[in-house]
Amino acid sequence: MKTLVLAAAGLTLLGSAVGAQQRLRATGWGDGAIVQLGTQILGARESQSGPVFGGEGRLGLGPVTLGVGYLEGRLQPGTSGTPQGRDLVEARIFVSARPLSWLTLSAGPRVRAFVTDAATERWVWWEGRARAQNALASTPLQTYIELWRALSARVNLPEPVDHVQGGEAGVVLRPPGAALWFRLGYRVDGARLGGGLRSETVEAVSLAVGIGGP
Amino acid sequence: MAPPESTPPPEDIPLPEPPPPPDIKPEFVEAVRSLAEGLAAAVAVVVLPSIVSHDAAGFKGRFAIAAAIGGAGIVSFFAQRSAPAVDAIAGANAAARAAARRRLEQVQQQNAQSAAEVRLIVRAGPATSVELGGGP
Repeated sequence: MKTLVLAAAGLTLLGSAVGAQQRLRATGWGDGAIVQLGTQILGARESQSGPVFGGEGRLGLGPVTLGVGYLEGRLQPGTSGTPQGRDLVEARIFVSARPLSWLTLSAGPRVRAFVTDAATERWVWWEGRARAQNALASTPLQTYIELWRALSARVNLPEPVDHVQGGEAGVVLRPPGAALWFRLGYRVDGARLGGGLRSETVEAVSLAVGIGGP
Repeated sequence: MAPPESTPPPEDIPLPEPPPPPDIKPEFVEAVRSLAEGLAAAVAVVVLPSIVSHDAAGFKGRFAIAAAIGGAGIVSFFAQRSAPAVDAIAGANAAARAAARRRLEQVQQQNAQSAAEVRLIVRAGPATSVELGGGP
Protein backbone atom coordinates (compact mmCIF):
# COMPACT_ATOMS: atom_id res chain seq x y z
CA MET A 1 0.00 0.00 0.00
CA LYS A 2 2.81 2.40 0.95
CA THR A 3 4.49 1.52 -2.33
CA LEU A 4 1.38 2.45 -4.28
CA VAL A 5 0.95 5.72 -2.42
CA LEU A 6 4.58 6.71 -2.98
CA ALA A 7 4.44 5.72 -6.64
CA ALA A 8 1.25 7.72 -7.15
CA ALA A 9 2.75 10.76 -5.44
CA GLY A 10 5.88 10.48 -7.57
CA LEU A 11 3.94 10.16 -10.81
CA THR A 12 1.74 13.10 -9.88
CA LEU A 13 4.78 15.31 -9.27
CA LEU A 14 6.44 14.09 -12.46
CA GLY A 15 3.26 14.69 -14.43
CA SER A 16 2.96 18.26 -13.23
CA ALA A 17 6.58 18.92 -14.18
CA VAL A 18 6.10 17.46 -17.65
CA GLY A 19 3.01 19.60 -18.04
CA ALA A 20 5.10 22.67 -17.31
CA GLN A 21 7.37 21.72 -20.29
CA GLN A 22 10.58 22.48 -18.49
CA ARG A 23 14.12 21.63 -19.50
CA LEU A 24 15.64 18.25 -18.64
CA ARG A 25 18.63 18.31 -16.26
CA ALA A 26 21.18 15.53 -15.94
CA THR A 27 23.57 14.98 -13.05
CA GLY A 28 26.01 12.21 -12.31
CA TRP A 29 28.87 11.40 -10.01
CA GLY A 30 31.37 8.76 -9.05
CA ASP A 31 31.99 8.05 -5.41
CA GLY A 32 34.81 6.37 -3.50
CA ALA A 33 34.42 5.67 0.20
CA ILE A 34 35.99 3.92 3.15
CA VAL A 35 33.16 1.98 4.73
CA GLN A 36 33.06 0.54 8.23
CA LEU A 37 30.42 -2.04 9.11
CA GLY A 38 29.72 -2.70 12.79
CA THR A 39 27.54 -5.61 13.89
CA GLN A 40 26.47 -6.23 17.45
CA ILE A 41 24.69 -9.45 18.42
CA LEU A 42 23.76 -9.99 22.10
CA GLY A 43 26.49 -7.59 23.15
CA ALA A 44 29.23 -9.18 21.04
CA ARG A 45 30.61 -6.73 18.53
CA GLU A 46 32.47 -7.26 15.28
CA SER A 47 33.56 -4.80 12.65
CA GLN A 48 34.69 -4.90 9.06
CA SER A 49 35.87 -2.18 6.77
CA GLY A 50 37.07 -1.59 3.24
CA PRO A 51 36.88 0.59 0.15
CA VAL A 52 33.60 0.90 -1.68
CA PHE A 53 33.03 2.51 -5.07
CA GLY A 54 29.84 3.58 -6.72
CA GLY A 55 27.98 6.18 -8.65
CA GLU A 56 24.67 7.90 -9.01
CA GLY A 57 22.77 9.42 -11.92
CA ARG A 58 19.83 11.80 -11.86
CA LEU A 59 17.40 13.22 -14.39
CA GLY A 60 15.48 16.28 -13.35
CA LEU A 61 12.48 17.96 -14.88
CA GLY A 62 11.15 21.06 -13.19
CA PRO A 63 11.10 20.56 -9.44
CA VAL A 64 11.15 16.76 -9.72
CA THR A 65 14.19 14.48 -10.08
CA LEU A 66 14.43 10.75 -10.71
CA GLY A 67 17.66 9.05 -9.64
CA VAL A 68 19.42 5.71 -9.46
CA GLY A 69 22.52 4.78 -7.49
CA TYR A 70 24.78 1.78 -7.11
CA LEU A 71 27.85 0.93 -5.02
CA GLU A 72 29.95 -2.13 -4.40
CA GLY A 73 33.01 -3.07 -2.37
CA ARG A 74 34.77 -5.63 -0.27
CA LEU A 75 34.83 -5.39 3.52
CA GLN A 76 37.58 -7.13 5.48
CA PRO A 77 37.46 -8.01 9.17
CA GLY A 78 39.20 -5.72 11.62
CA THR A 79 41.04 -6.76 14.75
CA SER A 80 37.99 -8.55 16.12
CA GLY A 81 35.11 -10.50 14.62
CA THR A 82 34.70 -13.09 11.95
CA PRO A 83 37.76 -14.09 9.95
CA GLN A 84 35.74 -13.92 6.75
CA GLY A 85 35.31 -10.85 4.61
CA ARG A 86 32.12 -9.95 2.82
CA ASP A 87 31.02 -8.02 -0.23
CA LEU A 88 28.75 -5.03 0.13
CA VAL A 89 26.40 -4.34 -2.78
CA GLU A 90 23.80 -1.64 -2.70
CA ALA A 91 21.35 -0.03 -5.14
CA ARG A 92 18.60 2.51 -4.89
CA ILE A 93 15.97 4.34 -6.94
CA PHE A 94 14.32 7.52 -5.78
CA VAL A 95 12.12 10.44 -6.72
CA SER A 96 12.93 13.81 -5.22
CA ALA A 97 11.43 17.27 -5.19
CA ARG A 98 12.62 20.70 -4.00
CA PRO A 99 9.86 22.56 -2.19
CA LEU A 100 12.40 25.22 -1.17
CA SER A 101 15.64 26.30 -2.82
CA TRP A 102 17.68 24.75 0.02
CA LEU A 103 15.46 21.76 0.85
CA THR A 104 15.16 18.49 -1.07
CA LEU A 105 12.73 15.74 -0.12
CA SER A 106 13.10 12.29 -1.64
CA ALA A 107 11.68 8.81 -1.33
CA GLY A 108 12.31 5.43 -2.87
CA PRO A 109 13.44 1.86 -2.35
CA ARG A 110 16.94 0.71 -1.47
CA VAL A 111 18.36 -2.81 -1.53
CA ARG A 112 21.55 -3.82 0.26
CA ALA A 113 23.29 -7.17 0.39
CA PHE A 114 26.21 -8.48 2.44
CA VAL A 115 27.55 -11.45 0.53
CA THR A 116 29.81 -14.13 1.98
CA ASP A 117 30.72 -17.54 0.62
CA ALA A 118 28.21 -19.10 3.01
CA ALA A 119 25.21 -16.79 2.87
CA THR A 120 23.79 -13.49 1.71
CA GLU A 121 22.12 -11.03 4.03
CA ARG A 122 19.53 -9.09 2.02
CA TRP A 123 17.91 -5.85 3.05
CA VAL A 124 15.08 -4.08 1.25
CA TRP A 125 13.60 -0.87 2.57
CA TRP A 126 11.64 2.19 1.50
CA GLU A 127 13.10 5.40 2.81
CA GLY A 128 12.05 9.02 3.10
CA ARG A 129 14.81 11.64 3.07
CA ALA A 130 15.14 15.34 3.83
CA ARG A 131 18.23 17.22 2.75
CA ALA A 132 19.19 20.82 3.52
CA GLN A 133 21.93 22.28 1.32
CA ASN A 134 23.01 25.88 1.09
CA ALA A 135 25.91 27.89 -0.32
CA LEU A 136 28.45 29.49 1.98
CA ALA A 137 28.53 33.15 0.93
CA SER A 138 31.66 34.49 -0.78
CA THR A 139 33.03 30.97 -1.34
CA PRO A 140 32.51 28.24 -3.94
CA LEU A 141 31.48 25.93 -1.09
CA GLN A 142 28.16 24.47 -0.02
CA THR A 143 27.35 22.50 3.11
CA TYR A 144 24.60 19.93 3.45
CA ILE A 145 22.90 17.82 6.09
CA GLU A 146 20.62 14.92 5.22
CA LEU A 147 18.49 12.70 7.45
CA TRP A 148 16.42 9.71 6.47
CA ARG A 149 14.32 6.96 7.95
CA ALA A 150 12.99 3.72 6.53
CA LEU A 151 9.22 3.75 6.06
CA SER A 152 9.24 -0.05 5.81
CA ALA A 153 12.06 -2.60 5.91
CA ARG A 154 12.59 -6.30 5.32
CA VAL A 155 15.62 -8.52 5.89
CA ASN A 156 16.26 -12.25 5.69
CA LEU A 157 17.40 -12.50 9.31
CA PRO A 158 15.51 -14.25 12.12
CA GLU A 159 15.05 -11.04 14.13
CA PRO A 160 12.29 -8.62 13.12
CA VAL A 161 13.37 -5.11 12.05
CA ASP A 162 12.65 -2.40 14.63
CA HIS A 163 13.88 0.53 12.59
CA VAL A 164 16.46 1.66 10.04
CA GLN A 165 17.60 5.27 9.85
CA GLY A 166 20.57 7.30 8.79
CA GLY A 167 22.12 10.63 8.06
CA GLU A 168 24.80 12.36 6.08
CA ALA A 169 26.65 15.67 6.21
CA GLY A 170 29.41 17.17 4.17
CA VAL A 171 30.79 19.95 2.07
CA VAL A 172 30.62 20.50 -1.71
CA LEU A 173 33.23 22.43 -3.67
CA ARG A 174 32.24 23.83 -7.04
CA PRO A 175 35.18 25.78 -8.49
CA PRO A 176 34.03 28.89 -10.38
CA GLY A 177 33.66 28.20 -14.09
CA ALA A 178 34.35 24.48 -13.70
CA ALA A 179 31.94 21.82 -14.88
CA LEU A 180 33.03 19.41 -12.17
CA TRP A 181 32.29 19.55 -8.49
CA PHE A 182 33.73 17.68 -5.52
CA ARG A 183 32.00 16.47 -2.40
CA LEU A 184 33.51 15.33 0.88
CA GLY A 185 31.03 13.70 3.22
CA TYR A 186 30.35 11.40 6.11
CA ARG A 187 27.32 9.12 6.22
CA VAL A 188 26.04 6.65 8.75
CA ASP A 189 23.03 4.39 9.01
CA GLY A 190 21.89 2.10 11.74
CA ALA A 191 19.48 -0.80 11.88
CA ARG A 192 18.03 -2.17 15.09
CA LEU A 193 16.50 -5.64 15.14
CA GLY A 194 14.73 -7.88 17.64
CA GLY A 195 14.22 -5.21 20.30
CA GLY A 196 17.94 -4.51 20.47
CA LEU A 197 19.22 -8.10 20.31
CA ARG A 198 20.99 -7.21 17.12
CA SER A 199 22.14 -3.99 15.49
CA GLU A 200 24.08 -3.09 12.39
CA THR A 201 25.79 0.19 11.63
CA VAL A 202 27.34 1.24 8.34
CA GLU A 203 29.56 4.34 8.33
CA ALA A 204 31.43 5.85 5.42
CA VAL A 205 33.75 8.72 4.67
CA SER A 206 33.38 9.46 0.99
CA LEU A 207 34.81 11.62 -1.75
CA ALA A 208 32.70 12.17 -4.85
CA VAL A 209 33.41 13.85 -8.17
CA GLY A 210 30.41 14.87 -10.19
CA ILE A 211 29.10 16.84 -13.11
CA GLY A 212 25.85 18.78 -13.20
CA GLY A 213 24.11 20.10 -10.09
CA PRO A 214 25.42 18.62 -6.82
CA MET B 1 -22.66 83.63 -14.34
CA ALA B 2 -21.37 82.92 -10.82
CA PRO B 3 -18.53 85.06 -9.60
CA PRO B 4 -15.04 83.58 -9.53
CA GLU B 5 -14.17 81.96 -6.22
CA SER B 6 -10.87 81.13 -4.58
CA THR B 7 -10.25 77.47 -3.63
CA PRO B 8 -7.92 75.73 -1.23
CA PRO B 9 -4.78 74.26 -2.79
CA PRO B 10 -4.97 70.69 -4.08
CA GLU B 11 -4.03 67.83 -1.78
CA ASP B 12 -0.33 67.28 -1.18
CA ILE B 13 1.50 64.46 -2.97
CA PRO B 14 2.19 61.79 -0.32
CA LEU B 15 5.81 61.69 0.79
CA PRO B 16 7.82 58.67 -0.44
CA GLU B 17 8.60 55.89 1.97
CA PRO B 18 12.15 55.74 3.32
CA PRO B 19 14.29 52.94 1.83
CA PRO B 20 13.54 49.66 3.61
CA PRO B 21 16.57 48.24 5.43
CA PRO B 22 16.20 44.70 3.91
CA ASP B 23 17.03 46.17 0.46
CA ILE B 24 20.66 45.60 1.26
CA LYS B 25 21.45 42.74 3.59
CA PRO B 26 23.90 43.71 6.31
CA GLU B 27 27.17 41.97 5.65
CA PHE B 28 27.55 40.88 9.26
CA VAL B 29 24.30 38.89 9.23
CA GLU B 30 25.37 37.11 6.04
CA ALA B 31 28.77 36.28 7.50
CA VAL B 32 27.28 34.91 10.72
CA ARG B 33 24.76 32.86 8.75
CA SER B 34 27.55 31.20 6.75
CA LEU B 35 29.53 30.52 9.90
CA ALA B 36 26.48 28.99 11.59
CA GLU B 37 25.74 26.75 8.59
CA GLY B 38 29.31 25.49 8.46
CA LEU B 39 29.48 24.81 12.18
CA ALA B 40 26.05 23.14 12.19
CA ALA B 41 27.14 20.71 9.47
CA ALA B 42 30.41 20.04 11.33
CA VAL B 43 28.56 19.31 14.56
CA ALA B 44 26.16 17.07 12.64
CA VAL B 45 29.08 14.95 11.43
CA VAL B 46 30.34 14.53 15.01
CA VAL B 47 26.99 13.65 16.60
CA LEU B 48 25.34 11.71 13.76
CA PRO B 49 26.51 8.26 14.94
CA SER B 50 24.98 8.72 18.39
CA ILE B 51 21.73 10.07 16.89
CA VAL B 52 21.33 7.41 14.23
CA SER B 53 22.64 4.36 16.04
CA HIS B 54 23.32 4.10 19.75
CA ASP B 55 25.64 1.17 19.13
CA ALA B 56 27.79 2.94 16.56
CA ALA B 57 31.50 2.89 17.33
CA GLY B 58 31.95 6.18 15.52
CA PHE B 59 34.29 6.26 12.56
CA LYS B 60 37.28 8.34 13.67
CA GLY B 61 37.78 9.58 10.12
CA ARG B 62 34.64 11.66 10.46
CA PHE B 63 36.48 14.20 12.63
CA ALA B 64 38.59 15.17 9.60
CA ILE B 65 35.37 15.76 7.65
CA ALA B 66 33.95 17.82 10.52
CA ALA B 67 37.12 19.92 10.60
CA ALA B 68 36.92 20.51 6.84
CA ILE B 69 33.28 21.60 7.02
CA GLY B 70 33.84 23.81 10.06
CA GLY B 71 36.87 25.32 8.34
CA ALA B 72 34.75 26.08 5.29
CA GLY B 73 32.28 27.96 7.47
CA ILE B 74 35.08 29.99 9.07
CA VAL B 75 36.60 30.78 5.65
CA SER B 76 33.20 31.98 4.45
CA PHE B 77 32.79 34.11 7.59
CA PHE B 78 36.07 35.95 7.08
CA ALA B 79 35.58 36.22 3.30
CA GLN B 80 32.26 37.95 3.93
CA ARG B 81 33.79 40.36 6.38
CA SER B 82 36.71 41.27 4.15
CA ALA B 83 37.17 44.96 3.33
CA PRO B 84 36.08 45.03 -0.35
CA ALA B 85 32.77 43.43 0.43
CA VAL B 86 32.11 45.80 3.32
CA ASP B 87 33.02 48.82 1.20
CA ALA B 88 30.78 47.69 -1.63
CA ILE B 89 27.80 47.20 0.65
CA ALA B 90 28.46 50.48 2.47
CA GLY B 91 28.64 52.28 -0.88
CA ALA B 92 25.40 50.71 -2.05
CA ASN B 93 23.74 51.71 1.23
CA ALA B 94 24.89 55.32 0.83
CA ALA B 95 23.64 55.45 -2.78
CA ALA B 96 20.23 54.09 -1.76
CA ARG B 97 19.94 56.64 1.04
CA ALA B 98 20.95 59.54 -1.27
CA ALA B 99 18.36 58.50 -3.89
CA ALA B 100 15.65 58.36 -1.24
CA ARG B 101 16.63 61.80 0.07
CA ARG B 102 16.47 63.27 -3.47
CA ARG B 103 12.99 61.79 -4.00
CA LEU B 104 11.80 63.23 -0.69
CA GLU B 105 13.15 66.72 -1.46
CA GLN B 106 11.57 66.68 -4.91
CA VAL B 107 8.13 65.84 -3.54
CA GLN B 108 8.42 68.42 -0.76
CA GLN B 109 9.34 71.06 -3.33
CA GLN B 110 6.36 70.14 -5.53
CA ASN B 111 3.99 70.32 -2.57
CA ALA B 112 5.31 73.73 -1.49
CA GLN B 113 4.96 75.01 -5.05
CA SER B 114 1.38 73.77 -5.30
CA ALA B 115 0.44 75.40 -2.00
CA ALA B 116 1.87 78.76 -3.10
CA GLU B 117 -0.03 78.95 -6.37
CA VAL B 118 -3.26 81.06 -6.51
CA ARG B 119 -6.01 79.19 -8.24
CA LEU B 120 -9.25 80.60 -9.63
CA ILE B 121 -12.12 78.44 -10.69
CA VAL B 122 -14.90 79.87 -12.82
CA ARG B 123 -18.13 77.97 -12.56
CA ALA B 124 -21.06 78.62 -14.93
CA GLY B 125 -24.37 79.29 -13.13
CA PRO B 126 -27.82 78.09 -14.26
CA ALA B 127 -28.97 79.30 -17.65
CA THR B 128 -31.37 82.25 -17.47
CA SER B 129 -33.18 84.12 -20.20
CA VAL B 130 -33.24 87.87 -20.19
CA GLU B 131 -35.93 89.61 -22.15
CA LEU B 132 -34.97 92.74 -23.82
CA GLY B 133 -37.76 95.24 -23.36
CA GLY B 134 -38.95 97.46 -26.20
CA GLY B 135 -37.72 101.01 -26.28
CA PRO B 136 -39.95 103.97 -25.47
